[in-house]
Amino acid sequence: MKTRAILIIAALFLFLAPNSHAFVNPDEQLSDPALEARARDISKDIRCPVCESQSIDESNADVARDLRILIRERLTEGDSDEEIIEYLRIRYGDVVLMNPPLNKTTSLLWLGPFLILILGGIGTFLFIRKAQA
Amino acid sequence: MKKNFLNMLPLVVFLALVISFATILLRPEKIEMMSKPMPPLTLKGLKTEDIKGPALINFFASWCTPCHAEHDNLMALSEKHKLPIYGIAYKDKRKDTDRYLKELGNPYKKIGRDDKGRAFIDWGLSGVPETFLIDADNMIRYHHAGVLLEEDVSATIMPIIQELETTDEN
Repeated sequence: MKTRAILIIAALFLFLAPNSHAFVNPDEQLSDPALEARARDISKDIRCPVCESQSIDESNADVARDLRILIRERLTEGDSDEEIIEYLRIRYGDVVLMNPPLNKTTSLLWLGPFLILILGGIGTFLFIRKAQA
Repeated sequence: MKKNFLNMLPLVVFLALVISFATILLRPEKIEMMSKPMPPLTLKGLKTEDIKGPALINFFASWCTPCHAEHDNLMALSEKHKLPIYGIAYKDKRKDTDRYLKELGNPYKKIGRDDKGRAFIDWGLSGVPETFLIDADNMIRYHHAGVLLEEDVSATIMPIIQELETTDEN
């Protein structure tokens, strides 16, 4: 019984394993390694508009590829990382960021899980106390 | 009775969340581009100066099945309501677009070709079809993602156009 539990827990850790690999094609890459590194960093923070749970760095979708190329073109033209991210945020909203900022509209997203945890905790506490009484 | 309600509470909260998230996610309108000036167009076949609002800008492609579904509604808008519609063919081969419009009719006043998908990003699209309603000052008044249904035309597009016309007259 105990070994089984350990095995199940161990199996759950598999979900933590990195299961994504970059889709950047060799022909997209910039020759300047510093610019390319910045492009990769930005791409990892931008959510693919058609595949929701992937960044454009991980997605092989057509739109993701176009976005990666756009980012590289803008970097080459001398735009800052912030300018590029802002360009996309204006058009697609906070949802385009893999890490959306905490503000009024996203507060439920960020704080909701903790709220549910606290409420659940209170519920469990009351339930156990009542069961013991 | 009270105890039963407490037991059901988590389920009720969960369902309320599901319903509220679903309504927001499934809503066809996208707010990011609304009330902003339309992004400049420098496409083959369609430039900013070609456009005279109030008009619709419709991103489409012959390979896109949902686009077929809204085609009749676009035809009605341009023929019955005399609303100019500018088409942007997204990653569509010229001969495919031509054949598509020959078969189903051409609702577009002018067609731009977004072969590289750059206008697609610049206008904040996440798929085709998507439709923008712009006013006489080329401001975006409405952004619709997905198929433009008959009820979207009557309940959303037409009221905004009527509103634009009345403010124009004053």
